[in-house]
Amino acid sequence: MSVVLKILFEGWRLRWALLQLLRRSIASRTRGSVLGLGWLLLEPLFLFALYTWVFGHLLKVRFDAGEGLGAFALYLWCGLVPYNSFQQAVQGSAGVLVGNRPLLLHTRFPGWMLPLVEVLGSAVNEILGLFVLLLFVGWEQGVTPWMALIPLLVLVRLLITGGVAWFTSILAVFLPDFSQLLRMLLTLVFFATPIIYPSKLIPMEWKWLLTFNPFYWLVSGYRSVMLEAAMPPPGFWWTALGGGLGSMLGVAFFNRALGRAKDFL
Amino acid sequence: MTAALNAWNLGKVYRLYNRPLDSLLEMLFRRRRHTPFHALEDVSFQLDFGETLGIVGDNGAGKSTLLKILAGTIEPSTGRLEVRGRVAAILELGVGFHPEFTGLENLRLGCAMMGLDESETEERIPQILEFSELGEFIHQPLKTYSSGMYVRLAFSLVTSVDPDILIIDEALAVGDAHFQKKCMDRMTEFRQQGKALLFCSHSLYQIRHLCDRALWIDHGRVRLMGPVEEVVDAYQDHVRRQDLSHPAKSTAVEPAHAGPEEKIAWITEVRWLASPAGEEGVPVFSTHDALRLEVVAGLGRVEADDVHIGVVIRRNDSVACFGASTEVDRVPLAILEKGRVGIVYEITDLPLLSGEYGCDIYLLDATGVHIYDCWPACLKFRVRQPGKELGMCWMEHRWLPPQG
Repeated sequence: MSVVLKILFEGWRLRWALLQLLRRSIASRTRGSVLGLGWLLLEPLFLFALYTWVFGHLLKVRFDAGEGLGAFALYLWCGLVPYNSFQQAVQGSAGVLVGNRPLLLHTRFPGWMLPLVEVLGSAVNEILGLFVLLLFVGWEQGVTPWMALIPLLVLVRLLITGGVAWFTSILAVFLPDFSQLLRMLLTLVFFATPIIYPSKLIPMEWKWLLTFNPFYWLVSGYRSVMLEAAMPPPGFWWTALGGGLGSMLGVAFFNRALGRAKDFL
Repeated sequence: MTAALNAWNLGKVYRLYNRPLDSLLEMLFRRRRHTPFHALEDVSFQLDFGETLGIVGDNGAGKSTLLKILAGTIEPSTGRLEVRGRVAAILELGVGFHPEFTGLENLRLGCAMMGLDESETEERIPQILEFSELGEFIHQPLKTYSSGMYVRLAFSLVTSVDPDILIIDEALAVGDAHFQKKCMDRMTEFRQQGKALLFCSHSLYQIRHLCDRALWIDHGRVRLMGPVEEVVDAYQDHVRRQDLSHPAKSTAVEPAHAGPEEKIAWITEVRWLASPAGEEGVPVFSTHDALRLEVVAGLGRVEADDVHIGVVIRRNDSVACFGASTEVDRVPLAILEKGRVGIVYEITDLPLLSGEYGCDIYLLDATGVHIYDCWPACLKFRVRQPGKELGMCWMEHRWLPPQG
């Protein structure tokens, strides 16, 4: 608990530095390109088009019987947006300590901000993606009061991402092969979560695994709120709690291990 | 006076591991997997506001570790540190600038790191830009900067955020003569404002002139602490002893050699006045002769009262026999026509014994710390002694009957 107070205090004191880093991180991804912010959308849109064509059109995957391609596309986008932002933040945080070596070694900069900048940066992509989704859903089905829960969805996604990112950034320093391993793990999580296919396609004897997959509950929460005009399932709330605890654990671990990690930068 | 900085028994133990993972496993399972290395042990001192403390020591003695602890970038393993006020530091050419960021982005981040908010930052940026003289380069990524430009940016930032305690490690060795002079002036200004300065340099000359007290770190421990003259003298003796055993290593102070276009002030002429006839164009004096030489300097962007002349007489084995300056003796230079100044240096009773000697002529600023120009070994001369005494110089003496 004291670690939370400490980072809140430090975060407030150095809020301008955090803002500066965040601005710079977003600018570096878009600077000099013709599309600018559009690039943040282009890659997920490309994946989205590809998956829609292969899984929705060729393989005729449907989330509910009797649905058209449009409904499949909305379900797919709803899962793809949070997952992509998660993946981007976690991959970014793997290189964040080495990439900011001078800041860490020559100033009293609080290192825990560096993974956080990646995580908050990923929220920009997510909000852009959700905005596009909202336009389509609003056009097709109209706006529902449940959509007021969207900020909460994003917050839970950020908490989960934060916990993972704080662990990732430290482990990447201590384990030389971690980056390669991470890419495989992220692909595994992507396919183990019903994002491009409905959960009913999972064989009965493996279904119990879903209960322990936070991304399943996260994506279910997004789909309930955005597409089904319903309360997120109970598992989503447990995931939210777990995400909160996970990020606290993550930042505590990060702060304890950072001093040691600096020796190897 | 109040203490700006109080250190009690500071120590730093570095842990050496076979591989990075061992460090993480050690943290998780509490089983020792390292070999300790003591970089710093039991360092205690106090630094008051308005005081400048110099730190001297050989390479690898622990100076940098100590400065990093004081600047707060690493935690001490043992001991306690109390700091009052805002600390700004330039350590080993680094203030935490990011090579991919532009100069301006680095400035904004640096200001934010020192706890300034956005409006305070934007207010200070014009002053910082002006002091750094980087012009349009400020919009380029830092990786394109030369080391001189880097230091200009670092020094401008660090001294513009109004720190209470300033820590400078070696940084001033780079950068051109004009900027070095500006840095020295600003540091002098800081002292007068009653701020605390910690200054680490290989130039013992700079330490002697800038600092009130000095701390000599040797093998991670305090070897000596006290008034700057005492500590620097002792350290200089130590360096000389080391030079005898490792003659290859030179520790002479190398002044900055800048091209004439960069110079703020420069020596234009050095000559003997009424020197005796010599051999091979080198005048030969006798012990107890008078020796007179004249130095003339040109002034660029500097006033006449900010220029002093120093003369060091060295034997041909580079032992310094005697050095004096108009700065130490508080003598103003004579102003000549067209932005030139000059002075005549006279030794009325030359005490040197037989040998070959040369004069190094220095042009210094009003603090005596910054060297505008230097002509090393420019006036050579020989001395012939009438008697059969031994040694380097004549000492007044007499022989008396036993006191029995």
